[in-house]
Amino acid sequence: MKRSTILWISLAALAGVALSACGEIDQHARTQKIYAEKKDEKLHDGKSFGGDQARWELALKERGNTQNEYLRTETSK
Amino acid sequence: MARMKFICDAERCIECNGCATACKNEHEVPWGVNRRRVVTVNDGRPGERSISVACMHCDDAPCMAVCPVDCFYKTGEGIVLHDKDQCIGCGYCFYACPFGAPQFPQSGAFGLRGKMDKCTYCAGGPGQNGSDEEFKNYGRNRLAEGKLPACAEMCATKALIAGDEAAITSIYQVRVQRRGKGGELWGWAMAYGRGKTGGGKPAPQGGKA
Repeated sequence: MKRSTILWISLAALAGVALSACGEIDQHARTQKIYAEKKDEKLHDGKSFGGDQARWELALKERGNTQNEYLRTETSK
Repeated sequence: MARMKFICDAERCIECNGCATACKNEHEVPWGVNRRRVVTVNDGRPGERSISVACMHCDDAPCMAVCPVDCFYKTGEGIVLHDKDQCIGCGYCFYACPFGAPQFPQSGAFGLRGKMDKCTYCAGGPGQNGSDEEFKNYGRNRLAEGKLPACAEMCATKALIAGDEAAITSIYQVRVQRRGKGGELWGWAMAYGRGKTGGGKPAPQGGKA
């Protein structure tokens, strides 16, 4: 067999390997979940806080501190 | 605001069901739907523990992943909520949830299954905060009023604590240090991942799933 023929065959094989993945269809499931229905208001929006996020966070923090009974019992000593 | 989470301290829970009652009362939840319930393990044997269970508002919520109509969404505070107008009541979320949180009202004939209902972390649902429609579909929106979930606020022994992750883990850490035992956090690793905190503070010791 001629050297050039061998070269052509090996080049064709190489190209075949290199391009083998190009025709592959993406088989991964859609990973990004899309919620496109009703919009929800931010929790600090509305009557009570009127969009003041800092005041809302402070209110929740103060409320959360009441769950710590050590804070209540030891500060009263 | 960081992540909102629940901690149930099994060393403190006395199985009074105050949390479940508070939840039902606050949201006027119908018969047969239990957004929160108390589970007892090793009942009547040494090592008996009770745990208050509801939706844990997981970091990587499996219910969101399996929902075929994508009716779930997550608020900026990490609360997992859903849109009942979009829910088809298929029940996939029930099978996916490790805590058995999704509930389905069965009020019609032939075991007709309604739209899914679950703990909203007292944060209502889509729509206007505090509206009648929101209350009818999802219950009261206490968070928008600057209050914590009713179950945690009602808990007499403070076994169930709710709020910002950093704040509640610090409360729990102090407790564990003082009593010198009971550092296992039930459901924490399952819901929020092992060793992952996101709130800047290390998770309390233990990792009972």
